[in-house]
Amino acid sequence: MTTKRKSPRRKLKRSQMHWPQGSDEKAMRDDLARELLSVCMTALQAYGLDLRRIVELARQAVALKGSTPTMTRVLQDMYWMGELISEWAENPAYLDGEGRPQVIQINGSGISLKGLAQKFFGHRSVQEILELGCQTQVMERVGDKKVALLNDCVMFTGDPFLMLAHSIRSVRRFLSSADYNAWAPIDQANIWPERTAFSAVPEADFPEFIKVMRPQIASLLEMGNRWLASRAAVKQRTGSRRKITMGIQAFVFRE
Amino acid sequence: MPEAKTALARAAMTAVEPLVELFLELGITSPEAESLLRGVFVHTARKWLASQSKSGEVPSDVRVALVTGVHRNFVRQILAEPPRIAAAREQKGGGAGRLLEAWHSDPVYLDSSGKPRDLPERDQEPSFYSLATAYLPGAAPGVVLEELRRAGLVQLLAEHRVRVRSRAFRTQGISVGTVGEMGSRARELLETLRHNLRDPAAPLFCETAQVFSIDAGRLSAVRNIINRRASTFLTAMENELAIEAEKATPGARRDRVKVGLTVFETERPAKRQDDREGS
Repeated sequence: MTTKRKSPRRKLKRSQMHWPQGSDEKAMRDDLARELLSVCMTALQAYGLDLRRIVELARQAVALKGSTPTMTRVLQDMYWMGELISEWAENPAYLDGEGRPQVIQINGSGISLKGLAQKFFGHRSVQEILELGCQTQVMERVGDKKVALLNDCVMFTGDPFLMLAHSIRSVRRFLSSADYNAWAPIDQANIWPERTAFSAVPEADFPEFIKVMRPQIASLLEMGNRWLASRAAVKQRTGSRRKITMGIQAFVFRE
Repeated sequence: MPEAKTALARAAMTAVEPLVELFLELGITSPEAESLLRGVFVHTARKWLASQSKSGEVPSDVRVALVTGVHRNFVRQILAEPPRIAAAREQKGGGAGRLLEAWHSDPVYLDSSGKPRDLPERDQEPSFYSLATAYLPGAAPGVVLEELRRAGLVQLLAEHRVRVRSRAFRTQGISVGTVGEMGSRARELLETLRHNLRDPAAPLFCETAQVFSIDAGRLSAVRNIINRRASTFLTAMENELAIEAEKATPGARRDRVKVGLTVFETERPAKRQDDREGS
């Protein structure tokens, strides 16, 4: 059992106190911090914000101290839609003879979208959830009365609000891992895994790269999701009941 | 036969059990199977002896007879005919193969994970009809659908939806082609196992995941998971091997090795505790 005194987190706080050392390191740190802010500010300009407005918002952001109530609200529906997908894709009652999600009734008391909507969205109308599901390419209508699961993830693409909120969460998660690894002990077992592969290749190869990586990323994330879902379902009878959000995120990029 | 040799032969015969079950299903008798085995034995012995010779010289009938224990007159007779077991033949479906390939690769017909979507027959696009029109122009989509269904390559679901079951055109059920393919797969596995027995210092990859006993009600879901993970893994390996193949020196035909990879699932009733575990 690891005691709090011996935990890696306690060690890293000590090493954090000794950095940066000297004026050169301080200047380098400030340069890097400036560049991180610049990257974020440039990204925000893509959402139609001018620099003056961004600086004003940055001043206001200090008061938030890292809290993200708007992002949480914007993504709340997407979170529950993700839970709905997991239920549809994993619960044997919703699977066909080949273990794939079956086409289900929109309304009805048993195996239906209405049942799923009630479980994950409370009293909101099934019609609203159907529209949200179609808009995020989670599901598609089959005739007037039925619906099929189209994708095993919620698609944020094409909605700038969702993508901006998603960006906040992604950046926060990445910075959290980077912050831990920046101060983590050197031993491999305590480092949070983080890998990057990149190279300069002809631009025309980018679609091919996406095609190669898409199924691999989807499979890796699906495996992670199944592991997390199985652990989340276990009711702890002893020990700490405190739960934390943990996960894995992967994406293709170009610069 | 010396005791050790008998024990080794008996141990190896375990591999033949599934083949015997197939022979029984096909109505092939033990004498017929023995005759067939003798033919394969003699042809294989000739190839094996040639591969053992530094000059690659074809061995004489007498030498084959000595190694196999079959009289040289029978050896001559057996070698005069081609082996009775046909080589694996994958039937190419031409246009149908093109359609199946497109269903697995055209982004319009894939979901966000890159897997082929279940398609409506025709009501809304993308549909099976739009796929058939794009990749098999000139053929009536309804006829194509019926042909693929009869070949077991697609499955008709409720609500006029269609699910693809195979990426390549191959006939289903017991036929010369499919049994030949089964033999080919079994041979590949046995060759790998034999290589590892003979050359443990340079083994070919052959690992088995731990066997788990699962609820029979979850079997279809588990098969689906294995299908998805293994397909993704094989796709990744195809990409890796294609990179290696591209590195080959142009025109250099010699010193080439064909490298492949097969993944398969095993299932057996959990009651049979006496069975050795492995998959």
